[in-house]
Amino acid sequence: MPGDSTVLRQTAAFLAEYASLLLGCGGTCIRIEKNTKRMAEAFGVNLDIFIMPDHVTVSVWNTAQAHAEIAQRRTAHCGISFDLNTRLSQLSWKIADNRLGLPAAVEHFEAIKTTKPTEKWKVLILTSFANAAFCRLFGGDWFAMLIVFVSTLTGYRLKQIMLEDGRDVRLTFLCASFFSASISAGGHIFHIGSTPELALGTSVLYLIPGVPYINAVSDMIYRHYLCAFSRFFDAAVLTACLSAGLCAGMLMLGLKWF
Amino acid sequence: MNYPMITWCIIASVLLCAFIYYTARHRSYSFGHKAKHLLRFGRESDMFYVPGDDNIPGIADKEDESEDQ
Amino acid sequence: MMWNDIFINIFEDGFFAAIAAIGFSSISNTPRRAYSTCALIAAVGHAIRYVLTRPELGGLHIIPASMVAAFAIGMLAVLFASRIKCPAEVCFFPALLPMIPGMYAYRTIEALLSCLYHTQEEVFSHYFYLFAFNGLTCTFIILGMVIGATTPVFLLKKLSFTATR
Repeated sequence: MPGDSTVLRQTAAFLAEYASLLLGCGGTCIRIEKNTKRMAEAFGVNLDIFIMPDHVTVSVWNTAQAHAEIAQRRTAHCGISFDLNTRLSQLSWKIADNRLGLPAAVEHFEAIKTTKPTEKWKVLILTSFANAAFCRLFGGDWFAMLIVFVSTLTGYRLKQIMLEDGRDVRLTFLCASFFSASISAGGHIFHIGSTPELALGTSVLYLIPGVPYINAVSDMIYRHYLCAFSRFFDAAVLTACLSAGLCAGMLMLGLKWF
Repeated sequence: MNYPMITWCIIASVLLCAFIYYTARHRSYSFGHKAKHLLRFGRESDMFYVPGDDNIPGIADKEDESEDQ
Repeated sequence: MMWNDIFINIFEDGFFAAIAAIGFSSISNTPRRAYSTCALIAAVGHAIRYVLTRPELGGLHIIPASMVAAFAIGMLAVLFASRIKCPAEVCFFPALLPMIPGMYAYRTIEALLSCLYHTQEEVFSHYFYLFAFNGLTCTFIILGMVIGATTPVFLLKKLSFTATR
């Protein structure tokens, strides 16, 4: 039946786009597999999914037919977003429980795509407070917390500006950590407070890509070694960049590392 | 004033200048002037752009970034 | 009097961990309704780790302590996930973020750079030791944390994968 093949092709395309967005917003491989399988069952088709770090391939076939439709999509570059992750998971259940048809599913999916990220000013303030609180957890005093707050505020704003401008992520991390570390080294240089070394040490911690690290181990547990390795290395490269920025700042200001 | 203090002040003022420059450029954009770039970094997509490609680099990138935030 | 101090310290640790969790998770666009739950779970988790690692209380090494704390976080996340209609990982990832050993992670790279900088054998091996020590500790903390937090998801499979239903 020709009509059947078109539907199959559309289903494959939808599932591939869904998977690419879920992978892009930081979903773990096991979740991608479970969600797509659940939807495929609801659509009454068989599914195999092949997840690579940068691409997703979905193969969809009917039990009656010998031929399968294959759709491949590039991973969406939308940045990590738990909000999108939640909405996409909800959509998969909605499709499975309410037996939504493909057109309705695509409509919902398009609506989810337009989800707005958290306001950047809010993120900036919350992150600064978070890093200051983090400094406290390591035993910093109030002066150290204030220094960390200011250095995070400037560093994170710089990161936002550079990413908006379309600069390379690694360069952005290098610059942000360099300036954050340099600003917070002011505690050492002007002798403010009793724990300036903690201020310097925690000032760059907001840049540590925690979610990719957790994702990497989670993928490893479920034996998606390639994705795990790729995510781990992405995170490690960013950590190396921020560490290099920190070292450069300390070197310029003549401070000892250890 | 010793050497690290001077360095610290220079670094802090460079950062301040960067923020002021960014704000000023943002303002001038909103008034319709186009900022002139003396020096600018190339993008990855500039390198691989082939004339005739659908998406013009820069424009396609811009869309990506708005999502990135 | 002493117990009073300890309780205040534990409470303080949980409180600041909660702020850290909210801030760091806002970078990753956590849905707004999940903030309070994440903060609570993070506070409990971090306070548990604090108690376990204190020499006068638990005296545990940081790696098993992180694992136990992460297990508690995972348990709470699975239980709370269906209440706020979010997948379990949306609950426990933000709560794990304050426990990510960021300091060890960048110290590893710092030590590596120091290795390259020094040629004398003794100094070099000192920095290489720091590189290996920090790197291994960092890796195993993350491993332990994620394994600890994922185990409840396995144990309560039914509950955790139907959270957004």
